[in-house]
Order: sequence, then C-alpha cells, then structure tokens
Amino acid sequence: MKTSVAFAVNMPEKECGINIKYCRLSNTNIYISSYLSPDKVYMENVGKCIEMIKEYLLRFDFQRSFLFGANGGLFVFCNCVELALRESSEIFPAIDILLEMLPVIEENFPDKPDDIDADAIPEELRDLIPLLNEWAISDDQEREEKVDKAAKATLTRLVNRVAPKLDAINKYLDSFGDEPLSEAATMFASLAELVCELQLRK
Amino acid sequence: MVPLSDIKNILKEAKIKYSHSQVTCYDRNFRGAAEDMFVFKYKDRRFHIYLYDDYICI
Repeated sequence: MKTSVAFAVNMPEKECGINIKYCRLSNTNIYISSYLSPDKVYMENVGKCIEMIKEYLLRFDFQRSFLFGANGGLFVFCNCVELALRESSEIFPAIDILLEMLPVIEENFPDKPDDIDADAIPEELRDLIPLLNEWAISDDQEREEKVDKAAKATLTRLVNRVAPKLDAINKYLDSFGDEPLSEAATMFASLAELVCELQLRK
Repeated sequence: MVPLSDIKNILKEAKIKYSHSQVTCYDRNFRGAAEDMFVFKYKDRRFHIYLYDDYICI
C-alpha cells in the first residue's frame, strides 16, 4: 500500500489499523498506522501533515475543554478526511473548517494510486484486474451515479464476469485476517460490493 | 443517537438541497447493515453525513 499520509486524531481507526499512539496534541492522542509505521517517508509525512493542519485541528475544539470530546475525532487517509462529531449543531462550523483544511492536505499530500502487482493477487482473480480502475468505487454515491449512467448490457456483463468469483474474492479478503487490506484488496472489496448491489437490483 | 429530524432541520435552515437514504453497508462477508446517510453539496464540495449510534460522521 502506498499512501502519503494516514492518521487519526482522538480515537484510533480500527479498520485500517491506525491504532498506534504517536503523540499528544492539546491533550488529544494522535494515532498512526501500525502497518505503515516502519516506512520512514510515511512517518515524515504524518509529522509534516499534523504540523500543517495543527491550527485547524485546534479549531474543532467546540466543547472548549479539549480538542475532541468522547466519540469525536478526525481520520485522515490520503485525501479522504472523516470527522466524527457528537452534536448536530457542530456540522456546519466543522464543515467550514474542513473546507479550509482540505486544500492544504490535497496540495501537499496528493493521492498516490498503486500500480496493482498482479503477482500479489490470487491467480483466479487476475483476469478481473482490468475492471478495477473503472468499477472499484468505494464511495456509495459515486457508485450509484456510475451504475445509473451505465448501459444495462454493460452491467449484465460485469455481473456475469464477477459474480462467479465472489467466493474467491471473499477468500482473498479473509486471507488478510486481522491485518489491514492492501489497496488492491480494498479495490476487489469495492468491486464485489458493486456486483452484490447489482444482483440485488435484479 | 442524533435524531434524523435534527439533521434535516439543520440542512433545511441552511437552504441546502440534500438526499437522504438508508444505505447498505457491507462487511467482508458482504452482509448488509442499514445506515442513514445524507448527501449534499456545499460550497462546490460534496459531503456525506452518516448517522451512527453515538456520533455523526461527516
């Protein structure tokens, strides 16, 4: 997995293994990826990114006591930023801060998509690799838009090609056990999700 | 849990068009679980809000 930056503020992110305490900022823990921490470049980027967005993070202190309350936090992974809040009244103040912060992250830490290493993919799934760039869409809304625009025949061909391999995809994903999924595996998961949804539409 | 009506009111007060749906999330075994999701555009960016039991995720 190649990513320029990934960390969590205030609470660990379990699915991606961002669970090692890295430092404290205004009485709040910053967590980094256990998977990526041996990577020197990753560590440098995390430090640099936190320094760059520190002032924005402090502004999320809506409760005026510490950076984020219980069950509140921020998760940065590549260019994706997720913010967990407790109060609905905080939504727009938080979004306004995010809108200032996002360009800083996007400009300095752009996404670096991996070239998929076919050797690391189970042989029976390798013929699906060409589908990943177009159809492995993790965002629900984007996936729906893509499906709505696609021709019915195209979707039928996609289902016919991928559906017989869902068990193999599942087995591949399970092979990671408690370890975080690789970027390629995440793409296979998104592809499988799409095909399951298409099957449900029938 | 934050009531759905709270989120709807906040978005309406801000005069923002939104879509609300129950989305199916999948785990590794592709088993589904429904969550409330709002999608809207604000200042040329698209945002998603998910409602969980004890927090809101943007």
